[in-house]
Amino acid sequence: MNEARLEALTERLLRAGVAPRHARRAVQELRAHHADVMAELRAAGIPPAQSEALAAERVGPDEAFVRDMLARPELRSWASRRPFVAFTLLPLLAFIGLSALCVGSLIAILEAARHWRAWLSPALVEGARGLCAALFVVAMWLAPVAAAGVACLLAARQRIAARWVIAGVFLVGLLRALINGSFDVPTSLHGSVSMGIGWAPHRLPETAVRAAILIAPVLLPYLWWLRSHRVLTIRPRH
Amino acid sequence: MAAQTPSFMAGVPELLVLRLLARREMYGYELARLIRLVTREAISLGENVLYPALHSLEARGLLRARRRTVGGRSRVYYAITGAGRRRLRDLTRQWQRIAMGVATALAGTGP
Repeated sequence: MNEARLEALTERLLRAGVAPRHARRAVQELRAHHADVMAELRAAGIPPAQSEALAAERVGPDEAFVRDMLARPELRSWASRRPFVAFTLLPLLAFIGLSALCVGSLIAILEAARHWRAWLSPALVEGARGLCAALFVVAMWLAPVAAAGVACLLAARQRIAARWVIAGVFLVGLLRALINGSFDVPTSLHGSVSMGIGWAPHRLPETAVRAAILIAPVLLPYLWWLRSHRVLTIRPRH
Repeated sequence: MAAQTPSFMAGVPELLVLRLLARREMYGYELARLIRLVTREAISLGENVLYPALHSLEARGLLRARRRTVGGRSRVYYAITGAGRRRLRDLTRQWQRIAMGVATALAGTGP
C-alpha cells in the first residue's frame, strides 16, 4: 500500500468527521495488516506480483473500509458533530475563562503581596509585581490568541469546515477588541488594575485595529494551511 | 415479547472478535488469521472491515487498545474489558438461541 493511497484514505475519513485518533490509527493498522499478509504470502513462496494481488483481495477494497468506518457514529468526533459549539462558542468561552483565571490570580497575588509585604524582601515584592504584570498581558493578549489558535489547530487537524472556526476567531477578536484594561501597579503595590468592556463610535478605528492585530496572526496561517491543503470546501454530509 | 433477533450476520464479527479476545489480547492481523482458522474460512470478509469493528468496540468500551512493540514492530493490541465480557455473554446467549432454533427447524422436529 503506497503512502499516497494511505494519505487519501486518512483524508477521506477525517473529512467525513471520523475522530483523528481513530482515522489515523485505523489506517496505520491497515498498512501493517497489508504488510503482514504480504510477508505471509511471500513466505509461502508466492511470487511478488501474485502476492500483491492476493493480499489486495484478502485485505479488501478501500471502499468497504471507508463505508464501515463511516457507518459507525461512535467513531465520529464530538467536535465534527457539533462544530458550532466546538469551534465558535468554545474558543470564546475559553478566552473568557482563561482571562478570568489570569485576572483572578493576579488579584490574589497582589492582595497577598500587599498583606505580607512587611515580611517580604524587596526582590520578592518586585517579583510578585512582575508576575502580576505578566498575568495581565496573558489575560489581555495571549489568552485570546491562544484560544483562537488552538481552535484553528484542532479544526485543521479534524478537517472541520472553515466557516465555524473563522466565526469563532472573529468573535474572540471582537470581544477582546471591546475590552479595555490597564495595569498600573508601582513597586509600592498601591496602584490600580482595571478592566472593562464597552464600545464607542469615535473609537471604532482603534477597536477595529485591535481586533485585526489579534485576528490576523491566528487567521492568516490557518487560511494559508487551508489553501495549501485544498480544504476550502464544504464538507459533504453523510 | 422477546427482543427481535438481529439480522443473521450483523453481530457475527462482534461476537467472534469478543470471543477470541476473551482468550488473550491480540492485534488485528493475528485476530484476522484466527477468525479464518476457527471458522474454517466459512466467513469470508475483507480483512480490512475488522478495523472499523475493533475501533467501534473500543469506542463503546468493550475493548481496550494499547500499543506494544514486539520484534521491533509497533502494533496495536486489543484486550476485552469487563463490559466486553458481559456483552460477549449476551451475544453468545442470543446466538445459541438462534442456532438451536435453526437446528430444530432443519431437523424437522418442530410443529
